[in-house]
Amino acid sequence: MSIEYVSTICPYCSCGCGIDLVVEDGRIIGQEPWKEHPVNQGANCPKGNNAYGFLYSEDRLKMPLVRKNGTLKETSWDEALDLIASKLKKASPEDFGFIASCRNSNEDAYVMQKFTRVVMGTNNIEYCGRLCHSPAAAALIPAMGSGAMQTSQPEIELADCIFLAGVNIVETFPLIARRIFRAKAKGAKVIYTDPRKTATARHLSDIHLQLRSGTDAALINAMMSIIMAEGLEDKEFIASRTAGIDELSSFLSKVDLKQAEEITGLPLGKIKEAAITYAKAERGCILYDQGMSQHYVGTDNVRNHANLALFCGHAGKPGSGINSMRGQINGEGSGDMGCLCVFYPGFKRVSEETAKFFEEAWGVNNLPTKPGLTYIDMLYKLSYLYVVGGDPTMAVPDVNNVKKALEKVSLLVVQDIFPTEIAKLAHVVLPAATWVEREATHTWIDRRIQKINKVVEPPGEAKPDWWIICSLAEKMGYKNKFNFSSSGEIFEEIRNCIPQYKGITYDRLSHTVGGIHWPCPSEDHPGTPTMFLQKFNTPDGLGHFQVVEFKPPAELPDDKYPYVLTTGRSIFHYHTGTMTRRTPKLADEIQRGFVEVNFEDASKEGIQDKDIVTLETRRGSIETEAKVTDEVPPGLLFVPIHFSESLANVLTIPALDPSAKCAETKVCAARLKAKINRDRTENESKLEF
Amino acid sequence: MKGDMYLAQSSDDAILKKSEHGGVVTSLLKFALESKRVDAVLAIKARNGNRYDGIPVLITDPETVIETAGSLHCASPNIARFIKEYLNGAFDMKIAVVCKPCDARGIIELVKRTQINMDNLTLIGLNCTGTLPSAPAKRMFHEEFEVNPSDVIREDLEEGKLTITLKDGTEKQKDLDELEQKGYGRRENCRRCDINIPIMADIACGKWGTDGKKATFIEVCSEKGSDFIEKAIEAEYIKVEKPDSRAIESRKKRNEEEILLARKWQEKDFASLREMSTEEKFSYWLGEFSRCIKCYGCRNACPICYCKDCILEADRGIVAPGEIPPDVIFPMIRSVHVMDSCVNCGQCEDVCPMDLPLARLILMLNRELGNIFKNEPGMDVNAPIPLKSVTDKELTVADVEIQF
Amino acid sequence: MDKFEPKIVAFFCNWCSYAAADLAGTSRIQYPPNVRTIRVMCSGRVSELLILKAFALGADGVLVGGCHPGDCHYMKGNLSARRRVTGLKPFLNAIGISSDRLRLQWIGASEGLKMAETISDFTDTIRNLGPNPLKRRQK
Repeated sequence: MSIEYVSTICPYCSCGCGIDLVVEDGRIIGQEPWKEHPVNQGANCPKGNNAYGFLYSEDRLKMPLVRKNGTLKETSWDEALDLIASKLKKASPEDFGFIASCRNSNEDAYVMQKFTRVVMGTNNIEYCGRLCHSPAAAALIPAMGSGAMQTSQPEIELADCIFLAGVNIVETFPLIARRIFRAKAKGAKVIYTDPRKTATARHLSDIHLQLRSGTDAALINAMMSIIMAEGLEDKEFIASRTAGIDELSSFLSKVDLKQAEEITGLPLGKIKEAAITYAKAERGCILYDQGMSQHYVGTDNVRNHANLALFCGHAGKPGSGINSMRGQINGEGSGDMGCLCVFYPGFKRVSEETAKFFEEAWGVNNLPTKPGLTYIDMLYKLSYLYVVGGDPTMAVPDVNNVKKALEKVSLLVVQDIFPTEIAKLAHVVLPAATWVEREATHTWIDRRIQKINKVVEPPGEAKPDWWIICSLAEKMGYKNKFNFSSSGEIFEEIRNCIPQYKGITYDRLSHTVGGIHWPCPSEDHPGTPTMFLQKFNTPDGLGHFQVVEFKPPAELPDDKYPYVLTTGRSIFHYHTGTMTRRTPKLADEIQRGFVEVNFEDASKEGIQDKDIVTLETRRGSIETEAKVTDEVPPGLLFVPIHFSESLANVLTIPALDPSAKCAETKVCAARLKAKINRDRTENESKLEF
Repeated sequence: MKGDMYLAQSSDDAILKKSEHGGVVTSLLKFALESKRVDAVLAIKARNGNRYDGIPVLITDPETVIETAGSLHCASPNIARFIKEYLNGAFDMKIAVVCKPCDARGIIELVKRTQINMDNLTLIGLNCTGTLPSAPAKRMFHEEFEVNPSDVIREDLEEGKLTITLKDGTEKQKDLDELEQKGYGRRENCRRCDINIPIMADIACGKWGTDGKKATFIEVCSEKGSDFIEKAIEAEYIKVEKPDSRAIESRKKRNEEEILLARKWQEKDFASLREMSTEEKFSYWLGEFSRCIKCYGCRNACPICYCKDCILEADRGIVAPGEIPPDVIFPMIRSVHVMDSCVNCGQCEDVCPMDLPLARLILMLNRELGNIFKNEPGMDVNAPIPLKSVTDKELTVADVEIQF
Repeated sequence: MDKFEPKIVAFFCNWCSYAAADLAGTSRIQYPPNVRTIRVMCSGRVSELLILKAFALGADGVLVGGCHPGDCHYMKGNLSARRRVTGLKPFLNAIGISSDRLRLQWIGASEGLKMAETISDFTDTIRNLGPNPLKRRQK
């Protein structure tokens, strides 16, 4: 009997916490803290403490499946890949789209975009990061030169003012919330914008700005206007490190604070308190997430927060900046690898020049030079779709229409670890290996690259994502461009064409606890925890102000649909729930979906806690359980995104940000109808006489 | 015999060379395996040679025992849990276990609860005045000692000083108290720990009483330990001589000094909790508990928490599921179910993602209960668990209050 | 102005204290109505969980009634109750819930008057202590 502690990184969010797996004779039998790891120092959140709960689940996909006469039948890799290859050979480049995942590794992602560009000849490559953090690139590349997190997790403890913009951080990034609690213990102040009174509002924030959904841009304009009136902007920083102040000052001088009060629903005194607290801080740190991004003005929201950071000089130092909180284990990495229709690897914009660079790097010709279609467009416009590690039929708004569109495609390939909802529509389903079933690198939230080592064998015939794509490329005649026999070989190619990754090697990663932050230009470079210390990554090295005018959400309540519906997450579950709902200790905490309804609204509608209600929008309706609470203010309803049987995205609106093409899943108009609980009716009639 | 003391040295030159003191523990482990007294030995090893990454290793090959030589001060793996959880409580195999006092005490409490089989264990205790928390220690070496943490090859905690030895042979020393006032230094519970010599194990090994010699001081603490040492001497794995009274005195004195320091830390840490008014205490603790995110890390780590079907799980109906912070019944039961038996291992605080001062609260309660019930947990497998046992004598105590 | 009326949860053992409460009733002895009684077979059944759950749910005081030592129907059940209450008091004090909110009382089956006096006295104590601070946290 051999028992070993094998270190790895938690498979869930983007913090990248270390854990030790206890392995006996090739099987994981437990987990223990890994106390040396710099991110979490031996502590884990509820999901992290149940990290491997999903791995051995009975219904892991084990064999390739091909749909024959309406049902999916097990088959061999050869048959499945031959079928896909034969169909793809008939597809024209503009008709094919690849949707990669935030969960596959860097090696997987790199191979996927290379396949799409080299084999299929199109830039129709996207990943689920489009749905949540596309505004980061769209807003922050012009503002500062990069959309990645600007400082590192440990350095957040240095901040004396932390601005949590639309991020319920206690539930979504608990180990980063810990950093903020520690900063608070040293006197830091926490400002938090969220229409809901979440755990973060109740226990972490000092100033909770409980604004109306989607009014953040107006709030920030008001804050900057106040800061300017008080003379608290960082004049030295603005003069030496920014451009565009004149246009911004002129705009701010016309901001109507009374109007801002009306729009946001916040008293002016509170806006002022937040503004002055942030401006007067030594080291202000903005952490933002879906509360900013998932609006049709997502890019504008991020632009304006970047303005605020630059205006107050809170950028370009450790524990500062404007920081996008990518949530997934490879949210940063898959973007770095170029799984975006407008970027080749390393965020080189799609263009003739870029295509030439990669033609040389890859030894190929005729790489596509025009931007491809974005994620949601692909679902509606293309006939040949390849979807890896994600579920558009749960994760994209207006799911009913998404399903209709997908039913019409000529080929839908789904590559995943579990039979997901979208697999029900697939022509071919391929079983993937995940997490510790393969050697791979991922890039976590603070540009932290760590390596995951192989610890156990994947189930059945499941294979690493990169292997599947390379085998498919081989079937399509491109073996010599995809001749990788290990993930290590792929990584060598990655670091030779992505300058930020140049100095990172598997060997270095094996010896560096906590990984290495990119940019890391050479093998003796220690990595870069905080970016922009001397200058920003813009062409002139300066931070650029971008004036933002407030626009209201796409669909506001009216007589027919009197509530604002918003969506979000819970600490115990993870996104579409494929992993956490298969982990009993997590699934037991929250077993099914619910809709949060304020006490006043509930009593108006005649709804009691735990009643089944029908929740309806112009897109569709779901039945779910009411949770009567004061976590939502009157007029607001909240539905978590984790539950397929009460699916939030049946209801949400596909109003897309014009620059980023992410959707406004945070605001739409809804109505509520009580479905009387049969039991209560019986009791009521008994009491009636 | 129980109580015997020796100054000992390994008879194996290679082991002696690699060891920090007498190499005795390593030799005893080798002896235990080669004589087939045990099926395996459980010790701690620096994973990949990394001093900050100490993991438990179960060794069956006597030749590899030497890899565990030397003390790792920047590691605190959960030995009691390892035996309970992954070695089936030692019910199926005989194991020699290298353990600090808190490890041994945790094991003894689990033996009381029939989760570990004491008959199959030989506990080789190590003197301990504390360990350093792994990740903060690296930062401390970097910022306070101004060295590269990977250059440190040895740490020594002695007489109020932390001394490190670097690869190139140089030494650096700092005052431990100064470091700890800054928030560096030992794990918090270690500072409060007043049990430095593991007399609850079968033998206690350490450097006190060696007075600079390359030797290990052994105190025999049980008949099992006595037999073990005698056989090891007979089989020539270790050489021994009797320590003179000066050595024994110096060891006793060192122990008493450390106990005094520990009691000072206890007073300091507990005073701030005790001095608050009732309202302040309530505010403080509810504030602390409000950060809890129900990760169950403390419950998993605690040696006293052994219930396979824990009452605090989401499906038990006591704590409302899906809420953070969990209802106040959660931290209350977590504290109350273990407070009479807390062995001050500090594992709970090591793993809390929200830095809750659990070890401080529970040890404080444990000492108060210890005064009432005249009990020290983890010292004697035959000592009953205070809140889970009664004695016939109490039938004659008429009062509602009781004092032992 | 609403005067604070304590809500007290009492765990009474079947054989002694519950019988005493019955006796107080049949003897028409007056005592305050603030106690909600829960009958258990033995005071030894009253675990820390029951007591703490009562406080967590908002009880202002918890009273545990058992047989006098030596008289327990199950021999030593009441001795367990005594140890547990003794152990809980430092805990309650430590976290800012006055340990006076928890009381253990030996009340024999024939001690109806003592039962009434105990309840009366305890109710007064709790009234003076004020409401359970944990109540503020409930919705």
